[in-house]
Amino acid sequence: MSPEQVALVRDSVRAMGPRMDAVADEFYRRVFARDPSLRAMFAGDLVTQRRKFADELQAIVTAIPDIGAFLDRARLLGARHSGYGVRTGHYRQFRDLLLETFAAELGDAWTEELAVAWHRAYDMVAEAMMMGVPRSTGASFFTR
Amino acid sequence: MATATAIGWPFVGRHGEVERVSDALDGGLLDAVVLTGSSGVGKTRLAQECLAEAESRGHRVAHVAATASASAVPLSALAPLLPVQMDLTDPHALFEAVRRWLHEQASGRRFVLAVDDVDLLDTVSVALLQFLLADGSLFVIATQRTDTRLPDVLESRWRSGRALRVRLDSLEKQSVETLLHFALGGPVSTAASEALWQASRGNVLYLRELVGCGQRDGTLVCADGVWRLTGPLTDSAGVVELVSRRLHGLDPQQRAVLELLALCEPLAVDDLLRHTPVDVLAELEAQGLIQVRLDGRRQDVTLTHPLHAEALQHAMPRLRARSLLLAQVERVEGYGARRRGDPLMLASWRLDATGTADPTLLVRAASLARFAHDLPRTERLAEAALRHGPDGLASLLLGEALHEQARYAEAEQVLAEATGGGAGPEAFRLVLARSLNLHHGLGDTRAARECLAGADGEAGDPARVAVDALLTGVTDTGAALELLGDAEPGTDPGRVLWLRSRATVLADAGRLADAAVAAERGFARHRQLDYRMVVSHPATQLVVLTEALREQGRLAEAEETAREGFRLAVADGIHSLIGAFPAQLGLVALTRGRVGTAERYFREALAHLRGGGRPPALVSGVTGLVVALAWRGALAADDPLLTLPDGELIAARGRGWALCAVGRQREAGQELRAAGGLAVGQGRLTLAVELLHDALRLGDPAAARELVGVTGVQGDLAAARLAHADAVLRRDPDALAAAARTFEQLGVDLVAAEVLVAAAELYRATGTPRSATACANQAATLVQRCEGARTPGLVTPVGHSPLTAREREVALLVAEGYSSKRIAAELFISVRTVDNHLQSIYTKCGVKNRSELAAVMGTAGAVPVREDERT
Ligand code: HEM
Repeated sequence: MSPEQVALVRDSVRAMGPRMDAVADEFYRRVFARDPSLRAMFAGDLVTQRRKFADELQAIVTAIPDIGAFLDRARLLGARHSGYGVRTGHYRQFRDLLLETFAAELGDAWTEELAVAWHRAYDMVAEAMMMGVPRSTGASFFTR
Repeated sequence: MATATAIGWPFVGRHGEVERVSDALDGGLLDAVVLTGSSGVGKTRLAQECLAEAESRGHRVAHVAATASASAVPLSALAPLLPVQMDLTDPHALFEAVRRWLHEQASGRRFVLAVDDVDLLDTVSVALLQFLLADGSLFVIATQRTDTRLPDVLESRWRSGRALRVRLDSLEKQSVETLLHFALGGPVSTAASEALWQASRGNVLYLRELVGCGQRDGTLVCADGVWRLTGPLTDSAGVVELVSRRLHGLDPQQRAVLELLALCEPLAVDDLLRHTPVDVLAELEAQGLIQVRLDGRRQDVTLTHPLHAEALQHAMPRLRARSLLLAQVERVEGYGARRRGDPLMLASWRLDATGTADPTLLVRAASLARFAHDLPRTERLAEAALRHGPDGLASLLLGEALHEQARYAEAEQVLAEATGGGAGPEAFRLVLARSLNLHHGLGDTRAARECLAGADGEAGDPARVAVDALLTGVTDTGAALELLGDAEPGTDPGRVLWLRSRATVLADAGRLADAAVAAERGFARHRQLDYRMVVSHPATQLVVLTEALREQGRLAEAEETAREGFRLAVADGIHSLIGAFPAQLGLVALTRGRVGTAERYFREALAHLRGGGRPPALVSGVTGLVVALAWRGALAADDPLLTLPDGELIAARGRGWALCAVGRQREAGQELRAAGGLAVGQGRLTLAVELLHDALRLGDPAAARELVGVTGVQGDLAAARLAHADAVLRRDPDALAAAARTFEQLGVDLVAAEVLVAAAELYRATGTPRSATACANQAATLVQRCEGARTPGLVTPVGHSPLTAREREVALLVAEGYSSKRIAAELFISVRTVDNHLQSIYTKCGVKNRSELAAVMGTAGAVPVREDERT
């Protein structure tokens, strides 16, 4: 991401603030409307789930500037998701619907630049999640 | 902010592909995945991630790379799979041992093997993979550069839906941006990421090189937490250029490690640490130039990218490579070559360094290559072994590899020298191989006999008996069969050779059904044989089988067999056989009367057969072509093909029909009959029947009488030929018509048509015009299938009294447009005689001049060439 994009996303998260919950509600409505079969994957309470999702999304994109913390967080979350049976196709589905939801909620405030910035931010999150937890403890063999 | 190093660049944009491969592994329906894409696109990395994923699911895994240099010694690329102590002389046992080991390792789950650059894998390794895949104990993840050839075992699996092909394109722009952000550990300015994207176009290797380059030369810097460019990126050098520039900038110690890896990778971590300080390795790893692959208990170091290996090998002076390789050999020998596959690697490195290696090992490796029918490699390895001094087995391997590549004269040179070398365990087999090369390859049966006499000590050995009988059968099938006896030997390879000889001699002797049984049995046994010294390739048995089937009139089966043989010979690159099968197909087409098709097959056969030596297959190919052309009336008197060898009996057919083609029909008949008589005398009854029948077709009066005397040739075709002769002798039109029907049922259309023409003539002469017309019409229909055949037997005289043989000759030449003078010269008669014949012909045919005669003659013969109508 470019520094401008990082800033754009951070600002928009801040601006949305409490409205994020409503966004999450609308987002999940769209998810299940588009693909009812996904409903079965969510065994727990949906209200809590939407809240957790909203909180996590906010926290994680805000963490992007601190790349180390961001990666640790996202990869752990991703490792749990692979345990839920989430597949790469799902991440794409989620991205499209999330961007649609933002567009609907933000109206004129949803600019072209903001859309691209969110797209990149989501990709960062999703790619890091798909990496999962590192398989070996250190990146280097010889300096370990 | 994380420091920007190239260590472990994150894996971005390819998780969908990992998922597909994992699904394939889990599903159990597939047993291989091929990752295809251009260099630097990330195939190897993807394979690595897939392996890691498989390992996390409980599979045992290994990662190997095929490289151009590792291919010098067969199997060395798969060294990590091979047992430490291995018996290379028994490939089957070796393969079996690997299979068992995999089973032990895998504990119920398939072993997953990643093979980089699978197109560079040697044939023996491919054969081993095929063996393991067929067994279901292996799952292969192969990477393949675009535009290279996939080994057949994977290609065929892909075609039959048992392998998945994943094409990798360059990364998309978004993925490049994400990757840069992760790899550099911070946001990247729009301008910088745009420039890097533009330059790399999503090629990950290139992207890494560009980033590394920019960081080193200070054009890519991190200021205030953001990565920016301070100037234009390194000028637009290609990735290869970038790589070599970078490798150039390394210090000598680092470079030495990389060069060693380029020549010998993978190397065990411990080996490297013995002579390289750990911080050198750490630095190289930090620069992303080397990586450690954890492979079970083994930790191997490899170069990160094959392109680096290529660039390093390319830039390395020959002498430097040599000394690096030899130093490595010394080290590995120093600690006892204990790891899996070490002996092979040693041989491979030695061979690369010095062009030779431990001769024992080279000979074993050559046997292995021969086992996998990798003839050029067998040749190279055996030659390298022989440079150390004489070695019977090496000579045998070399001689046979040359023979099978149809380089008969070279084979003779090698084998002659080795057989002169006196006794030794291989002496006997060398004698056999040399005799067979002399006979089959150089067509010199006498020399073959002399050579075989050198093995009189082994008189009772079934293999010797077999070769002896084969040579004897050329002039006396009875004696040959006596030599062979009826008791099949109990052990191979003697048995296989015995069966082939017996099938050959039986087929020649006319016992065609028995021959077919022996050849089929020989083929089945031969296929189960791993040890193929002296006995050559199983497809040799199919040559005999095709012949035995064809001469029985089982034409469709003969064709099928020849096609199968051709497929096998081509698949294994056995050039000594490749030409034999088109020649067989040509002979079947001739028997059918498809002259155009036959011509095409013979020409194809000759294209394969012309080369060194003069194998019998070449003679029969030339003969076949001459006959095909003669039957179509397309053979000119000065055709260079007509330099057929004089002495040989199988060439007699060609000589006979060639005479006929230039208008000397009577002499042609005599020639064919004489050759037939000779064949009878030698007990070669199959050939005798064929030749005598040809003479009969040319109107030779004595041929019919001789032919009916040749009984004992098995099969419907010979029976029909004899019935034909009998009908001619009895001048019985009904019997002729019946014989024609039998020919037609067998698919022998041209002869059937000729016999019908003769029947029509007789019917007309005996005052049964209606039957005559019916036969003539049937004949015309059959001729339609014969692609323009115009043999003398097809010529329909229109008048009531049939043309004499001489008159027919003259009539045909007139139809060709010859002047009386020229005809006189052709036939060695006076012009006046020609004109007398012509008058008689005009009267009999009811025509007034040459052009009317040509029209009448043309109706019988000039049928448009039609496409091959195989039934
Ligand atoms: C930006 C992407 C995503 C974020 C930030 C996110 C966040 C979360 C959070 C915070 C939880 C709570 C449990 C935990 O922390 O492990 C959760 C649970 C879950 N998420 Fe996601 N998620 C994302 C994408 C997805 C996708 C693409 C799917 C696919 C269907 C998915 C399916 C689930 C499921 C099945 C659960 C468990 C629900 C349950 O236990 O009832 N998530 N997610």
